[in-house]
Amino acid sequence: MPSSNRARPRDAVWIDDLWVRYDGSFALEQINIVVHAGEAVGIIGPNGSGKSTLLKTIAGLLAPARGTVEVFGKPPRSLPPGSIAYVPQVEVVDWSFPATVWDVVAMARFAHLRPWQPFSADDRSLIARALEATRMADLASRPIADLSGGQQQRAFMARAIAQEPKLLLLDEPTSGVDASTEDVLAKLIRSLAADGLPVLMATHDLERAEDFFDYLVLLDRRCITYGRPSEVLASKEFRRVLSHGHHIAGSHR
Amino acid sequence: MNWLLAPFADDFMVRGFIAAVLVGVLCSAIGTFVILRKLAFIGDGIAHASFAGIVIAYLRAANFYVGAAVVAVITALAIGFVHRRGRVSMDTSIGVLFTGAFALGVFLMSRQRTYSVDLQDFLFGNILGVTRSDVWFIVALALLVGAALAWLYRPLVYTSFDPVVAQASGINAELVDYALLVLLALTIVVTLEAVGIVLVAALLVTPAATAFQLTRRFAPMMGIAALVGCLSSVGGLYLSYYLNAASGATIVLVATACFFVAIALRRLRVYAVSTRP
Repeated sequence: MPSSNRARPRDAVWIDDLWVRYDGSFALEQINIVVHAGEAVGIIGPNGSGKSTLLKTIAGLLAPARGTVEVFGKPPRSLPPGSIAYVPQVEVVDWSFPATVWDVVAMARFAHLRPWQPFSADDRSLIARALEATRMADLASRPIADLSGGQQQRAFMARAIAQEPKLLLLDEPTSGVDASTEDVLAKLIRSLAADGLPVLMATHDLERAEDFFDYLVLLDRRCITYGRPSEVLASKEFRRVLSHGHHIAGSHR
Repeated sequence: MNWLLAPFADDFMVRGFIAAVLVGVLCSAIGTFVILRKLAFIGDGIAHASFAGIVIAYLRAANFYVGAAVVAVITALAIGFVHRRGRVSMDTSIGVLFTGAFALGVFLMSRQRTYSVDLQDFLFGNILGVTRSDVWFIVALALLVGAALAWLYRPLVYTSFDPVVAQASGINAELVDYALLVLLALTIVVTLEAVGIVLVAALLVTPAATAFQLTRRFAPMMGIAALVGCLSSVGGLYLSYYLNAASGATIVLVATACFFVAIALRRLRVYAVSTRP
């Protein structure tokens, strides 16, 4: 996976010498990553190491200061609507918003519909299946204001799946959630990757890295190291970043 | 029944009622987005800033609405820009820009020898001063804004809840934001003569806040808000007719009363649920 080889057309995500500026200084420098279809890649690193910035840049929410980001051979913003699903940290939205779980998951279909085109039977069954897959079907008609943290995270995951994306990006979906939600997410990500979906996920949860991912990227503004989870977690680079007083492992609940 | 129909004997009352219904529904519908996106202060700011446009239009003997609309839309776009690109906090920039523009309006007005009653109508509202051509202007703008809101409904809802994910999924959140600000500016312009600059924010916020007490889904919230806005406008106008009071203030007071009734209803419902055997 991560390498600085030149682009191959089948690469899902191709990042070449990426630099991203955030608040005046560089949050990311000299990043080279390649992700192929069907790979689940975890991004680990200390707080402030640029994990969210990297995901947002791949999603086309931030513009590179230098270098290239391509998703399926194109800049992220020029992909067809609905191509990229982004699962943010649950704290970024106001959960008092007047909507049910179903309403929120249904928003995923907007990207595929014209302004007044009603939901088709296909749309409805995709929404229903996404709710099933995240074990949220029983809560479909519940107002989102009444959800627990784990349920909020699963609702966001259901929305991402219902979008039928070509690329899935997740920003620390396991932080502060219950063990059963974590299990649901791990199984889902494995099965989505097995179906060929490329997945990138920022995480603090190192204990279960091998359950979730094919590869890990250790990030600290630069790409420090990458490889199979067991290799990265045993590497001297990983120990060095840890020993610098950075707090990577934050999986205590 | 006579008391219901009595106000309609005069043409200016009929025009007032038409304007009241349109303004009430339109403000409340867009107000749903205003409160969920926390734009109330922006609405108030746009209303105040547009006063400069009204006075300039007056001095040049041009149409008030055109003057107000031009200034309101420019300021709305300016805020959008400051919000996205600026380094000054939103509150601060609105506080500076809009009070400045409002002061310019007051300054220009005060230099007039004859202190104009027309201009004062815009400050405190005079829905009965709505002329025949004003009504057509309000109808046209209401149709335009209503159609645009309907067209943008889904992207507006999505970006109100989660702008980042909406943008990642391919929706142009920036364009949607600017479009909403322009629609808000046009709505405010239409509302100015009905309730006045000082009270426009109430008509944007109160009916939607009332609806928020009564439902937990977006579409019903918009519907209830529109209903509350319409009832407040019509009810307020009746009351002001019989109490011989200022129409704008009466409309806002009826809406405020609806808000407190809604809070009471919600409390009752919570109480009823909690004591159910």
